[in-house]
Amino acid sequence: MVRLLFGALVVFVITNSNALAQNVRITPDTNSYTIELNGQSITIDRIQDNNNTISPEFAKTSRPCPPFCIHPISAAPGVETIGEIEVIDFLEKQVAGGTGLLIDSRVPEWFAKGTIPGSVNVPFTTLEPTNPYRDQILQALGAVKAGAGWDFSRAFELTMFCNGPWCDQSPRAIRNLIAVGYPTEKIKYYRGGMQLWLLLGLTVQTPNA
Amino acid sequence: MYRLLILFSAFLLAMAGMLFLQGGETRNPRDLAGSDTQVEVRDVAELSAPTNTPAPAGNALSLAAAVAAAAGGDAAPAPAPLSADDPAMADMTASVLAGLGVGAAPSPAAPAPAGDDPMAAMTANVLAGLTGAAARPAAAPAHSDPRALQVLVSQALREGQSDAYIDILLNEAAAAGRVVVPEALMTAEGRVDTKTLLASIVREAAVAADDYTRALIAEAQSAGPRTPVQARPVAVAAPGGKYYVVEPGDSLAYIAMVFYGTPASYPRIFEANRDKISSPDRIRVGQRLLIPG
Repeated sequence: MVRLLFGALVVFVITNSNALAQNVRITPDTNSYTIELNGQSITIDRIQDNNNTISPEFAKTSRPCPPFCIHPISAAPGVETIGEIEVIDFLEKQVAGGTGLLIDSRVPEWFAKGTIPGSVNVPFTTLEPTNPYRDQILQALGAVKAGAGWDFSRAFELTMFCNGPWCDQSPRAIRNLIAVGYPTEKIKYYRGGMQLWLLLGLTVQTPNA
Repeated sequence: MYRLLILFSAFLLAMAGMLFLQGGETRNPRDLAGSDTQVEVRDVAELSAPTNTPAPAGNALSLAAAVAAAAGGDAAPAPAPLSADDPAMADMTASVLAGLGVGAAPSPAAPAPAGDDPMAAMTANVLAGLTGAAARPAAAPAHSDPRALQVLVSQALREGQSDAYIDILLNEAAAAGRVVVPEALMTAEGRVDTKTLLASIVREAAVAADDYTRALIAEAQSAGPRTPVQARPVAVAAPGGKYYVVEPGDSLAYIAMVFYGTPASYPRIFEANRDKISSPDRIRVGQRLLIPG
């Protein structure tokens, strides 16, 4: 009798273990991250549906190259390339602490469709040398005019991303920043971009004005 | 003996069933045919000639110009000049700016009219986003005129502009670095506390002997109180003293005005809360500030 009950228990546990496996965590011991940014709370977790697939917009394998070519791991010498866990860590430490900014280098239309929570939109076009108002953006990033050049000692640490490993916009923005003297140790490149962020089912924020 | 066998086979059945169920399910990708073609068009627009898409065609044009210029223009475009005069674009820009709380596109260095300069509009958006995200103000440019703030506000008042307009004007000027706003007048969200600023100006101007100024004040006050200092739930008495919880839109100057009658008394609150706020603009919504006697 006891053995029957025990057996039934074992069967019950096994048939329900599928339900336990539904839990989609970010790291083995973290379900989600909640971060305080400027008085607002953002939460990053993952879509829990094991059968969820990425939207067709981001499922394309073969965009024309050029210009949508595969980028190397390194955006520029001295610029660190990071992944999703490091992006979240950057949000928790530098961005929440007021010393860092997570920058979406895409154009506003793409930013509006969905971005990484906590990011700000600095379209790559605004950092081109052809933007006559670029100086103001550099100042907003914490640079101070010093003679003909800039003093970046108080500038923000930046993590920059765009649509993914096939997107040229954040590498271009990074190179433009370095060209005006932004310290490479203050720039990080999240090469995965929205492609990887979405592929991992991570939370997407649709900013509304 | 047989019971064991039954249990074992039930176990196997359950395992088999689970595996069967797991393997079988596929889902069709959501039908997003409409947005897919839209994306195609955008991809193309981003790298080559302008297409027949409606607004934001203007933006795509300027982007195409920028990308083509930088990438060496592979797919031969006919790029419009960056300052394309596109009424649809101007409308969209204006609504985006309005949504972001920034007024008409700025003309900081180059005096370009709003509708003609998409880059100015885009830069304004970027600055609004950056100053919203950055809780601390960007390093104030050394060359900015300390009187620029007074000049800007008095000019706007003279023109008879509304409070809302002056708010937009001040925030845009502060974001562009053209005026230096006292830290105590920065709200928890990083915007300029125009209400309190105007109230303090009115208050200070009230003691001026100038007839014109007094007339201005009289007119302003007849239009309605500039500072809506209602009877809001104020400080909560606690064993350590009176505490006030920061609400959205508050600045230290405003809190000082509520409790001491004048924004200029903000240093008292600042000094009493040094352990919580590193500088007068660093208050945050939800913070409990001690209001000294």
